[in-house]
Amino acid sequence: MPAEPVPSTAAEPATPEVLLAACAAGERTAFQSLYREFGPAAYGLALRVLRDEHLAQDALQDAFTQVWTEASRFDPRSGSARSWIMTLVHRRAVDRVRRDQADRQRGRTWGLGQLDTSHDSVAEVVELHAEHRRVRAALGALTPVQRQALELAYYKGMTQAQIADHLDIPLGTAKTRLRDSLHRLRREMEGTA
Amino acid sequence: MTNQSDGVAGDPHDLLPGYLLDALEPDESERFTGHLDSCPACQSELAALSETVSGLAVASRVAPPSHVEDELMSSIFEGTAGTPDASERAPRTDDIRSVDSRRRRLRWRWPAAAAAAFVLGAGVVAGAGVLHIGDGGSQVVADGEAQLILDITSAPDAHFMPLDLPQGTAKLVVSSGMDMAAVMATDLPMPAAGREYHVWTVMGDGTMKSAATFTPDSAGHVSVMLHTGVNDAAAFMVTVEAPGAAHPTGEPLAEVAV
Repeated sequence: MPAEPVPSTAAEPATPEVLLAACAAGERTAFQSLYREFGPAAYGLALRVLRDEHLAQDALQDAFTQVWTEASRFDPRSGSARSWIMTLVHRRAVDRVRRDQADRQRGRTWGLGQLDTSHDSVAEVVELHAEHRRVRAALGALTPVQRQALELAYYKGMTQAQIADHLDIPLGTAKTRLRDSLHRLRREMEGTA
Repeated sequence: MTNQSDGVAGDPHDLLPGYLLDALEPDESERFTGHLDSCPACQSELAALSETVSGLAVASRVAPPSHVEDELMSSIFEGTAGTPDASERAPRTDDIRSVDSRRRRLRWRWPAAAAAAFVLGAGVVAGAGVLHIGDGGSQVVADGEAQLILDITSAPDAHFMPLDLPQGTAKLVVSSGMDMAAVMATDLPMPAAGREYHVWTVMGDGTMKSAATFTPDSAGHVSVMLHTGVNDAAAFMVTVEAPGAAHPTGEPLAEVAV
């Protein structure tokens, strides 16, 4: 052993990206690590969109099954492992919302008034952490109409056409609000990172 | 923002925010993904903004009930969800075999030329020029190693091979196109004090080259580049050695033929 400490002889801790690559190779323990790291965020997101524990658990299981079976399709050049996983979770949840909407076959819109009260049942178990506060602060920097459009899309699973319809605004305006909200959010999050 | 002649559908670039938020109708979504393949600007915008969106995603964490994990693991690992790649089975618990059974299997798998490799000495090779290997064999991990490992794992020809270590799970990932390889492992136990894991490249003529040394982090994770090229290699082998070993002295813990 050299007398001086050897820099970084210990390998770097496995990043989510490396864990995903290991999943692609069939490593169960890597998958378990990913589930334990992102499961709570994924479940929180699914609950937020679906507002039903059983539906959210189904979405969580389906999305992570997809993480396992499609891990080899992850391309680190198009974003982080976190983004990739959360995209799968969000898509599952939104697909379920859309399916339910289609099942009901009526143009019932999701009232915005539900937004801040409907997930109170889970609010008590939401772990408030630094990132949560950072995101809340960034959302607070949006204009009310930007924030409304973003929440209708991301947390309620509405399409931009549905948002335009729901808010009785032109489609182009809905698109602009979504775009502006994302750009503003990015600036805010980067500024406080 | 330019208006396109098809005023109904509009500029595909306008669809990016809706795509990121899963807020497109199916036909819009198809149109955007068709556009994305040929638009580097949208690709990089998408990558950057997706981090913002996933910030929204992870803001509220709720611990899922433990039965969800149990059901997920059993549905995936007990057969209903398939494996990531038909050519690569997930390791099973019975893959943790005695050294004897591993060596029997090895004889079957190895090229004959490599079978006599153990007695041979080895030179330390500074490989791909990204990592530097000291005279004593201790390694200095260069910046960017993690990225390089990712590049290997995402190379179109990346090939994963299990390394059957007695404990933990480990894979060798090889890209012939890049002529590089890396070892990734989880749940790997620490070697005895003053020892380290040592990866050896077994050449076609039976000579051995020191390829990498490593110790796992406190969580048992490892990701490390090999310093040797891989295209001339016949096999790789892992032993536990004193730091700076010039040739393998320990019992091979795992071997894999290329």
